Amino acid sequence: MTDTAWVITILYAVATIIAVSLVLVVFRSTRVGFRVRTASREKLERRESYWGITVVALLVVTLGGTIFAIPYGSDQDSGGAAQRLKIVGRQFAWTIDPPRVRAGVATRVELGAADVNHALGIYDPDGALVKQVNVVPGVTQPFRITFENPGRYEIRCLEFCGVDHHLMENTLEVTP
Amino acid sequence: MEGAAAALGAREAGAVVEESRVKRLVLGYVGASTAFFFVAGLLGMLLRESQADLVRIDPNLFYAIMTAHGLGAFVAWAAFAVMGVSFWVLAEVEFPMRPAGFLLARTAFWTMVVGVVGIVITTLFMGFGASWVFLYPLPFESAGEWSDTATGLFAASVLLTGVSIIAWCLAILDTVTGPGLGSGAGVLNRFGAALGFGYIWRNRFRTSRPLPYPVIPLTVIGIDMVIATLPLAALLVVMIIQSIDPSVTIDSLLAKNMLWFFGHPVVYLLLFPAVAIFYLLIPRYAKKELVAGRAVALAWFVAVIVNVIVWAHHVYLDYPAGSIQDSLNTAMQPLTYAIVLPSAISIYSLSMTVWRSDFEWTPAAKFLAVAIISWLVAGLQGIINATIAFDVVVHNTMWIVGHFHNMALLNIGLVIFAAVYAFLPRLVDREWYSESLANVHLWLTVIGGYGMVLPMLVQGLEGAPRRYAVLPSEYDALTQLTIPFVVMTALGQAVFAFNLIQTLRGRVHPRRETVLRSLGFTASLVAATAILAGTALGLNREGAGESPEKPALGAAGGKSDTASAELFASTCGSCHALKSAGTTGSVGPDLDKLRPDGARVLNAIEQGGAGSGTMPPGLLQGEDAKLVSDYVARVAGK
Repeated sequence: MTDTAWVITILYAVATIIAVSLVLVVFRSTRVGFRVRTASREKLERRESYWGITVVALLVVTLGGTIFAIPYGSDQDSGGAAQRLKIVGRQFAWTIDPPRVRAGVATRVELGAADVNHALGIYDPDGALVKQVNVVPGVTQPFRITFENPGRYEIRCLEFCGVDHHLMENTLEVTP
Repeated sequence: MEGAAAALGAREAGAVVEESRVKRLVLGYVGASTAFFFVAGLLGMLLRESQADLVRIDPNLFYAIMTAHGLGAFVAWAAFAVMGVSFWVLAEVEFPMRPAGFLLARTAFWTMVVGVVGIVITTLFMGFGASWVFLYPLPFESAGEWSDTATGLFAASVLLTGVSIIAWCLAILDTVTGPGLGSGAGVLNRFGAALGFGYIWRNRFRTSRPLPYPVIPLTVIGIDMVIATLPLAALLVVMIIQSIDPSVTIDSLLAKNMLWFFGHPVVYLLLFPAVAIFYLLIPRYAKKELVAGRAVALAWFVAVIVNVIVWAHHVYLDYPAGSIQDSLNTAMQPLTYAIVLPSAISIYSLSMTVWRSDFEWTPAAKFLAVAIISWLVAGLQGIINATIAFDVVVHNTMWIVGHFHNMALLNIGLVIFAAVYAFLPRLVDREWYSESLANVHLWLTVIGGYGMVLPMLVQGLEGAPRRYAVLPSEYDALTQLTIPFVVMTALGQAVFAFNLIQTLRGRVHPRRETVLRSLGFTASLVAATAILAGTALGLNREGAGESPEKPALGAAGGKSDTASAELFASTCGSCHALKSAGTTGSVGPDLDKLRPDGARVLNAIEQGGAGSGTMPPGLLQGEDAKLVSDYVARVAGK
């Protein structure tokens, strides 16, 4: 798993455990012993607005924390890359030019699709999915990547493209 | 008071449809959608079993079944079911249908049934396997697996389901602005009132009684689905024309946006009516009114607008050079966040209605309670998907498949079951055959369902691609772990079917034996599950032993013919036939007939195909290329 995948796992697990626990408390409150005090309806309705504001605040914080991690800008920046790579997908194979690149330097990739929608998935030598980008036929989809470790990177098609979609793979040699 | 008098007058004048006819209409929807559910569920089970190598389905058949399962479970079951139940929800809050709305509702029923039959025929019998999102231009680039005629007929079938959705929307809008509202004012005022504006602007949108909350989400989705379905209909019409006249085409990126302009709101065609069911039933079991103030009406106001402008989160991974797609996608992250509000506020309202109430834990109520938990569990996944920085990790993976099943089966699906358990007695005028069987149904579905969904989520985080007939072997263990849970889920639905049939036949479960029988029945179910699970795992072990592991592509260490054959099969086999490697591809020349020498093969691999020019250069490099060319020269024609 990539670092981002771990971040997702931890954030998601914490949020889910808190949320589900709260709801379980609500369900438990319907047992006889809990029902002696009825909460005031007006109070609960006022709290609804407070809850709405809390949710908006949480979402704004999440937005602020993640909006700058969007890769679009850096992926489309064409300057300063030490090496270039052209990858074209067609049913059901990838063409990689050149087939060998160096590790540890910024690489500009120009991705294309010859026939139908494809998506490029790059798996590092440990099998972690380090990059995925979709491409519709007829456009150039650029992106930037630095291959951190030397070795064989597996390339798989990640957008459904027909009968042999799951066989559409190739490898990229990354040298030190 | 005026409105109520008007409603009464309308009823007396015979301008509303009798309740018995509405009952029959709703029963038709529930019956047909439940039948589609059993078929679509079995197809889904087959897909996962094929991925787990219990039964290996031919790839195109796999993808055709995947197309049928997706549309079948989503549209023909979940959407169709909530569409029908919505009419009953409106009847229960005393919104009678008028003749025009009733006619539209019947039109929606029949166009849906015909459309779904068309989808089944074109996928399962004509081989259309472009997946249920049929991304243009794939439907016309089938690699010889299905014809353009199949594509045209498939598009026409999906168009019929679109027509059904639009007719349903109009039927709902006709009913919510009808006599039930008790608002005498003009048509815009009636729409505003049905959207819950009366809770925000009390003086502007007057009604003779407080608007029942279940009406709001139904009105919201009724408006949005008309807007969302029209562009999809245009795309489908283009596809139908192209299937007859290939010179008519459409831009691929535009087509993708049109598809998702529909594809996002259609998710809420499931969720919003489900919320209406929650709003109706939770207060009933809590024996008090829904705890809701202004905020909930405001949240729905946000929803009706934002729902149709968040589609681009489905194309977060498309940002080609020189297009505005990247700005569009970025703008849609905060907009997608805004659509969290109706869910967040509704969950609050429902929870606070349950809070310290004298809650009646009927089977339907238990289904709803678990559905609220799933709403949170799956909804939080939705926030991750809405966040571009996270979505770039999970977008094309099994995580999305897991999220989807979590939401559609374990939230909305459970609400549908709750509605069936709650409403059927009034629709058919008899009690359920057995309540304890309903509980068995719930627990088998919940345990089986989460056993299915959680491994999908984990596989996705580990990078497992979605929509693969055969997954890379590193994901096999989790796929196989899923199978016992798939079987358990299926058993749960068998229990449901049995209970439903007994109820419809008018059987009554003898009360005093209930506890004993249900204990025995549960025990036998658990035993059956254990046996099936054990068998499944056992079969898997054997299967795993028989099928040779696929070597890492180009593992140059394996000089044997087996390794070369595997390499050939995975890289070249989809286009070239070669008996020795067991491949039958027909795109390129049959190598057993061609019998090329090693140099020619090596040249073709390095430079690409000489003939029609479709074989791309550089499919294999270095030692791998040498290995395969030597191998082909050695075995071709032998």
